[in-house]
Amino acid sequence: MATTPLVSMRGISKVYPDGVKALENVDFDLYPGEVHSLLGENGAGKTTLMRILYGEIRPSSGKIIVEDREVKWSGPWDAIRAGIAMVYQHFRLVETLTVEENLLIYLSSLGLNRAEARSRVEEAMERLGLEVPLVARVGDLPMGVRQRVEILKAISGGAKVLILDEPTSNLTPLEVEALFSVVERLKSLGVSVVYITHKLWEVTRISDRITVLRRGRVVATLKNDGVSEEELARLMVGELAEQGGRGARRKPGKAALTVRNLRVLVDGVERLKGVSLTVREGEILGVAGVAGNGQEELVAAILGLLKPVEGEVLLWGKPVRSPRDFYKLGGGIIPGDRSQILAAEMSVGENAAFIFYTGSRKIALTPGEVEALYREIKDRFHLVAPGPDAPVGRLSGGNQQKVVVGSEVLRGPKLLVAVNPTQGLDIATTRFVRGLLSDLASQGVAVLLVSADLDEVLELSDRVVVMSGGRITGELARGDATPEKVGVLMGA
Amino acid sequence: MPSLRGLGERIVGLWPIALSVAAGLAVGGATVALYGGDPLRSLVVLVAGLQYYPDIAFIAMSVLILTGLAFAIPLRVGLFNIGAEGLVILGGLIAVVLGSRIPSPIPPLIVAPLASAIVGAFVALLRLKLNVNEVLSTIMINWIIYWTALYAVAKPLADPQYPNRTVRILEEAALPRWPSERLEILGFTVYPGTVPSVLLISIVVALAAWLATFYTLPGLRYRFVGANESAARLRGTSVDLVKLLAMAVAGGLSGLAGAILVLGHVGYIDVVLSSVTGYGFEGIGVALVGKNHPLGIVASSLFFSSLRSGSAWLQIDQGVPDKVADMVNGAIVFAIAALAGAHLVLGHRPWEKAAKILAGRR
Ligand SMILES: Nc1ncnc2c1ncn2[C@@H]1O[C@H](COP(=O)(O)OP(=O)(O)OP(=O)(O)O)[C@@H](O)[C@H]1O
Ligand SMILES: [Mg+2]
Repeated sequence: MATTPLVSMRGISKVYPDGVKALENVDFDLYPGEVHSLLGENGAGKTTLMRILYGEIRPSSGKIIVEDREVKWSGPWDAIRAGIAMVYQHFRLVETLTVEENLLIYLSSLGLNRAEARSRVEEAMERLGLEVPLVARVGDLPMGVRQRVEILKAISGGAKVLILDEPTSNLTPLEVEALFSVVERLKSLGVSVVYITHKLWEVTRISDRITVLRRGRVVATLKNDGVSEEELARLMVGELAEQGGRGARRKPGKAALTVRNLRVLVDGVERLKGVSLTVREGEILGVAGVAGNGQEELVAAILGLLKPVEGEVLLWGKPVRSPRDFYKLGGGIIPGDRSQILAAEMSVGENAAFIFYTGSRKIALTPGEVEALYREIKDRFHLVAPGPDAPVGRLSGGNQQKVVVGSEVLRGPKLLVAVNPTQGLDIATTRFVRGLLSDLASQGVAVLLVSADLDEVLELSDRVVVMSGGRITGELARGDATPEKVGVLMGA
Repeated sequence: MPSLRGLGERIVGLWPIALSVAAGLAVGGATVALYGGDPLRSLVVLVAGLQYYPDIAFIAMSVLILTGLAFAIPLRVGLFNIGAEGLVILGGLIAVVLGSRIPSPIPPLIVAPLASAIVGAFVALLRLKLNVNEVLSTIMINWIIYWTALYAVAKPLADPQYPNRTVRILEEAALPRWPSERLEILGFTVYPGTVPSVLLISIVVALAAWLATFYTLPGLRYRFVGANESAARLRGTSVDLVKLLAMAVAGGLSGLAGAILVLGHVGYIDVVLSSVTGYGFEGIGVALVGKNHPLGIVASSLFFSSLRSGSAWLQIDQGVPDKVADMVNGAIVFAIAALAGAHLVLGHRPWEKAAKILAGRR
C-alpha cells in the first residue's frame, strides 16, 4: 500500500440546516488501490461523509485533501473531474435511454466528444473485464447490470475513487459475487473503493481497512486481518442486546392468504407458472429463492397489481382483484424497495399518514393527528428524525425503512407481506424488526416473508417454500429447512 | 403545525420567485425607459397599481385566482393544463346566454362550471385512454372555443343596438355589488363599491382548495399521485380517477371564472372577446409565482392584477403602451421556467414540476 493517502478528510463536521449533527470531527483516509469499508448503525453518518467527499454537500468544518492539495468542491462535478465518483443504491440512470446514451450524456458533460467517449468506454470495459449491453434500454436491465453500467460510467469518466453506498441491497447472490470480482479488478487497477454496507460478512470478505462510525464519530479504523464480525458489531453499537428469540407460537389458525395455481404473464413472458401456497393465521411462511425467480410478481399478484391469466388470490376466502381489496380484507405490505412507497420530498408525517390511513374513509386530517402518529412511530420504533415536517428523503436509509415498517404495522394488518423487511437496517434494528415479525405471528397475524436473505428466512419462518423459475420447487418445515436443502431446491 | 425553522426554510425557498419577479420588473422598467419614460416611477406605479383602477384590479384578481388554480391543480399530478383560456370564454358565453334570458345568476353559476368541467374531464380521458398530450388537446380546444365564440358574439348573441357587443345580461342576473358610497375607516377613505362580491367567491374557492389539499386524507392521496405515482397505486389510490377529477375541477374553475367575469363585472362580451381573453394564460404566471399553492395564488393574483391596473394608469401617466404589464408577466414566467430548468440540470431539487414537464420528462 502506498504511504501517502490519495484522499484525506480531516476534522470533518457536519450540521444539517435543521440542526442535526451528522458528523463530528471525523478523520478518514483513503489509500490508492484499497477497499475501505464504512460501517455504522442507521444514521451514523456514512452516507453524509461520502456525500461530502463527492461534493454533494459541504462540510460545516474540516478539510478535504486530494493528492496533497486541499480542495473545496462547489458541486459533484468538481469531485468527478478530480476522479471521485459515487454510485448510489438508487441508480442515477435515465431508464428510458439506452446504456450507451446514458454513458455518452455523462461523458459529454465531462467535455468529451462522441468518438473520445466511445473509445473511453471500450477501454474501460476492457480494463474492467466488464460486458454491458450498450444498445439495451436501461429500464429493461436487471439491477446488477445497471450497477455495472454505473461503475463503467464512473471508470470511463476517469474515476480513481469509487464510492459504493450499500451496493448489494438490490442484488442477487450471484450478482453480489460478480460485484466482488469487479471490486477486486478495480483494486488491481489502482482504483480506491469506499464500500458502505450493513452486511458484516461482506466487510470481512473484501475490505483492506474498515472504519466504524458511531453517532457521527469515528470509533475505530482497523486493518481487516482477523477481525471477527462480533467485534465489528460491538464497535458499531457498543453493547449488543441479546437476540430476541422467537416468541411462543400458537397453533396456526385459519387460512389467511390462499394463492391458488397462479399464472402471471409480464410482457408475454410467463413469470409465475402455477404457484400455490397458503399462509395461516399465526404463522410465518418464508419464501426463499434467488431474487428474480418470480417473487416480485408473486407479491404484485397477491396485492392485485398484476392480473393473473389463471388462478386466484384469496384473503380469508375472498378474492383479491385490486390493491383496494387487499387492504380492505386486512392485508398489509412492507415493500422490497422503499422508493416504491415513500415520496422523498414529502414530510415524514405525511408519508406515515399516507401509509397508516390506507383504505380509510376518513376525510379531515389534522396536523395534530399526523403529529401523534409520528410520535407513536418514533417511540415504538426508535425512529431518529428531526420532526414530522422534515422531508422523508432526508432521513438516513434505515430510518426511512422504520417509517415504512412502523406505519404499516401500526395500521394493524391481519396478514403482512414483508419483502426484504430488514434491507438497509443496521444490526440492532434488524433484530428489532425480526423480533417484531415474530411477535406479530405470536399475536395471530399471518406473515408472508419474502426475502433474498436466506438466514433471515430460516431464522423466522415456521415453514419455508422455495421459488425457482416462477415455480415453487419445494416446501420444508422448520427444523427440516437447512441451507443445503434450500440450496438444492433453489437450483431445481 | 410547521415549525418556525420550517417556515424560515420555506421563505428562503422563495428566492427563485423573488428573483423572477425582479427580472420581470427589470424588463418592464427597461421597456419604459426605451419609450422615454421614467423607469423607477413606472415600477412604483406598476407594483402599487391597485390604487388607480381598483375595480379593474379586483375583478382581475377574482378571475386570476380561479385560472391560477386551474393551472396549479392539475400540475400537482403532472398534467399541464393550458385550457383555462378557452374555458373562461366558454363560461362567459354561457353566462351571457343564460343571464340574458333568466333573471337569476344561479343557473349560469351552475351550468358554466359544469360544462367546463366536462370539457376538462374529456381532456383527461383523451390523455389517460388514448395518450393524447393534454397540452395539444387544450390548445386545440382553446382555438375551437375562440372561433366559435367569435361567431357567436357577432351573430346569434349580437345586440342589434350595439353592434360592438353581445346582448347584456338582465339586471337580476348580475352578481351584487356593494353600496358605492365612500366610507371612512380608521381615517382612510374606502370605496367598497370597487370591490366586487365575486372576489369573495374566489377567495372562498382558494381557501377550500387549500384546506382540501393540505388538511384532508383525499388531499394527501392526491399529492401522493403527484409525488410518487407508483406509491399511490400500490396503496390502492385510483391514480387515473384522481387525474380525471383534477382536470374536471380545473375545467370547472375556468368556467366559473368566465361566468363571474360576465355576471360580476361587464355584463356582456365585446365582439373581439377582449373582455374575456388573456385571463387563462395569465393564470399560468399566477400559479407559478404562487408556487402552486392556493394561498400563494391569492397573493400572486393580487400582484398580477395590480400590474394590470398600474399599466393602464401608466399609459396615461407616461404615455407607454399598457402592454408593459404583459411583458413583465411574460418575463416572469420565462424567468421561472428558466430557473426551474437550471435546477433540473444543476440540482436534484424538484421544486418546479413545471420545468420537467415543459422539458418533456414525465
Ligand atoms: N439532507 C439532510 N438534512 C437533514 N438531516 C439529514 C440529511 N441527510 C441526513 N440527515 C441526518 O444525518 C444523520 C446521518 O445520516 P446518514 O444518511 O449519513 O446516515 P447513514 O449512516 O448513511 O445511515 P443508513 O445506514 O441508515 O443509510 C441522520 O440522523 C439523518 O437523519
Ligand atoms: Mg446511508
